[in-house]
Amino acid sequence: MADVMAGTTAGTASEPTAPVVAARSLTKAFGGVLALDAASTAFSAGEVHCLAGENGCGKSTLIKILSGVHPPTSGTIEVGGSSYGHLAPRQALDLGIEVIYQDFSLLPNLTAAENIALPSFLTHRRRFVARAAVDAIAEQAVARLGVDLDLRTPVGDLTVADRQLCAIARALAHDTRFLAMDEPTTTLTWREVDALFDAVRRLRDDGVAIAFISHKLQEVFSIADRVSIMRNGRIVATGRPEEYTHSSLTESMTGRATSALARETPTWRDKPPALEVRGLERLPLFTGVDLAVGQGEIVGLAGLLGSGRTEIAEALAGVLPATSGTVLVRGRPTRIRTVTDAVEAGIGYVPEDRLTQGLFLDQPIGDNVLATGIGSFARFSVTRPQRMARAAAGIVHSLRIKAASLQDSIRTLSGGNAQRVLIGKWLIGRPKVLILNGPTVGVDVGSKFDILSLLHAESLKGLGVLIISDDLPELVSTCDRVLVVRNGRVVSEVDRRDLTEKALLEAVAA
Amino acid sequence: MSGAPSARSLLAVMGSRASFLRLLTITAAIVVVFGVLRPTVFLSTSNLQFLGLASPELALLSLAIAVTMLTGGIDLSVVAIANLSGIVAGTVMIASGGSAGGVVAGSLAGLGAAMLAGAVNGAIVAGLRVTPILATLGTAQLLGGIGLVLTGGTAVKGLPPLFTDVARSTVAGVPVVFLLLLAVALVLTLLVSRTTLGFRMRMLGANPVAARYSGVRSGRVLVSTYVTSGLLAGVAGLVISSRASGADADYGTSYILLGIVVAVLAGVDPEGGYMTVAGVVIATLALLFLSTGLLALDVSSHVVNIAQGALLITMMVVNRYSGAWSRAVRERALVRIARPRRA
Ligand SMILES: Nc1ncnc2c1ncn2[C@@H]1O[C@H](COP(=O)(O)OP(=O)(O)O)[C@@H](O)[C@H]1O
Ligand SMILES: [Mg+2]
Repeated sequence: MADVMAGTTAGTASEPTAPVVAARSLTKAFGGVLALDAASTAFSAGEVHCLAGENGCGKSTLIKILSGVHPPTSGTIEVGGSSYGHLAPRQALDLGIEVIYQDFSLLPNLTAAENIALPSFLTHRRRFVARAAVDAIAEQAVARLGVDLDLRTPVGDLTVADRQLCAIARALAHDTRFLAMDEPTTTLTWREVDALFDAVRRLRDDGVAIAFISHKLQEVFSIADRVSIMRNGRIVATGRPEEYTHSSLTESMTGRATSALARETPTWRDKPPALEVRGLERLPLFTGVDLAVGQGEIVGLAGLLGSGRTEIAEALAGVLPATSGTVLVRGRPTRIRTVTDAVEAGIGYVPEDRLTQGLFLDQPIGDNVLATGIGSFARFSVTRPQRMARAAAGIVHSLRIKAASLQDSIRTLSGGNAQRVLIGKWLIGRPKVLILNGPTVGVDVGSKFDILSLLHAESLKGLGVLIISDDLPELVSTCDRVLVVRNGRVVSEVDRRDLTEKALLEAVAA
Repeated sequence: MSGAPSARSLLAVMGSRASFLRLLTITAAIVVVFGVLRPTVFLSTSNLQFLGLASPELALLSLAIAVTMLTGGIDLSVVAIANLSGIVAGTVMIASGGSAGGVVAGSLAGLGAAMLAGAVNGAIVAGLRVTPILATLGTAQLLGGIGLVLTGGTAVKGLPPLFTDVARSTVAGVPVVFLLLLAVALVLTLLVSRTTLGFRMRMLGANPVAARYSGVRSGRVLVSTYVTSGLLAGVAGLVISSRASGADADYGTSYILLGIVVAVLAGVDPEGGYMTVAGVVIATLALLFLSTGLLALDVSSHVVNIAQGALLITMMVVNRYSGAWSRAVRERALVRIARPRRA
């Protein structure tokens, strides 16, 4: 392993060293789609280089070309000073290029130790493998990474986060010089993200060149030594993260101004609240929950996983009703025992798990939009296709859902567009309250911005919005105030004036 | 509704899936092959009239199964319900002396019994949350037993001529029961594609969890579904007892399997979320074309069974393969991405 790091200084990249891997004017066309457009960039040893950009801007394509999955249409790949027109996957691997995709390409039935150690045996063409040697290699890698990983567990039984660490440890055991991670944090909780970042930093300090793909700004700021922003297959800007702010980064990624999200508190104070809840209880999930969401107000609901925030939302949505308590919608008392009760009272709920709880994946987009409100597009139970089509087209248009046809299935949509369908499904019935659980999870920055501005616009028309989210910056930028839930109770409230990420983090973790 | 229906909406009604086009191709191929091999027998008026008389009961039972498949369920009790409907109808008709009023009353009583049986299925599936396959297997047994008790183990005979003549009469050479099938198919098509119930049945079958989060009252939808299925089976029961001039508690048990074959052949998704009424009618005809065609070639009836089974398996493999193809391509790409295991 000694030869690998020769000549590179680890840690602070005060002076840019010769790049480990570089893209020189790489262009890639898929049929008519130009996925990469003369992209040039370089990855240096001991540096975490973030590639940020909206979905579809070409981040994954760039990594796939560097790792030999796709040949470029034109341009060259430079590795350790030599130029290549294209790389074969095996060749890339032998040059020390490693990619961790979202599925980590681990072997689920082997233990963590075996997964970590086996590749290095394979490259050395060893056929017989001693258990002790396997363990030694794996333990060494895990120790270098500074993580706590149960090496004896089959990888299939590990959590996603541990599987990820396992994949990184494998990269470490395998003399990797360049490690690319393609949106590694999508399915992790923020604690797990912290652990991952520690591991990534150790790897960096070991002199590995790291490409870290993310569209979460928070992550870019906390991990990047250098950030390159991609848009439409081009690298539009490169710099150090200190040179950017949240909004300048977003603007650079989307090409749109962000000032639209800044809001005055428009709550219609003279009107009864859109939603008022008193003494809501369902033991042991939550008890004594009091909250109010004004008409035109956006209220956040923050709390750790298992704090009861999802259960409170699902009780209000009638999914798992509360056993006692009062619910008033625009001042009118309502009993919510079923989802239909909630729908009729004017409460909409966009659930946490879009794919299983929210959408009908193989059904047409148009029918998904109408799934909740179908009753109002029928006379004596006979549906009226033209009205349905008009209403669905109207929502698809006004929410800027990118779809070729209303007849296409949801599967053809990206995450952001699918989420808009789910929101549209409620908006079509003109609810008085909309509760959203993780509205922008797995959605790219551009769509995220669009979704939040959409909620903003709807709230201005008098809709009361309650947002549950783990994404603290999102709560800070969107909400008028945030309620904090712990152990099934609303324990505190952070007001607009004091609403910062830090204040929120303290309130949640307190 | 103004203007001509677009090709797209027409396709939507017909079932826009590739499986529907495959079904049409296969049906046409069967007709052409046997039409060429044995034109005198296969294309004879008597054979076509036989098909017109034999297809409605199978098609109705298949439709009864298919509507439950739309919600992701299945109804194994359709034949038992059909028999019960025939028994109740026949008993009432005989008791009322064969008058026109008695025939109508008997038919209504038969259909009522069938819907009641469907409601029981729905209640067990929706209320007690028993899986449809077990629930309806149980009621099939139960209803068969009730039928036996009602008939004392013998067939109900001596149905009034007014009733049995229906199966024998034709309009412009087309059997009345076949016209009845077309009418039922039309109504069912409207139910499935143009009512809130049909919409909700499809959504429930496509994703029951999302349906719940969307405010679909799954209990109501399921009960309505199984009542509809029962009603269709009840109509089939009347057709059978009119044609056979009698009703019997253990008539036509092989129709269960055949009905499932027809539904799958038609491209109805047993996992829920898609059905096609036109497809089921065409698939019934395809299956009967195949058997009468083979019989016209003087092969034994065992060969007919083998051919029907082979057709089903072929269709399932083709449907599965065409769906799985894109998945296979994806998986191969993943293997390529994953670490090469060997030098
Ligand atoms: N294998 C492929 N075939 C055709 N088009 C592709 C393929 N891979 C990516 N694309 C297209 O190239 C563009 C860039 O995609 P990608 O690199 O995956 O973006 P990102 O990772 O930034 O979200 C997109 O428009 C995408 O649809
Ligand atoms: Mg990507």
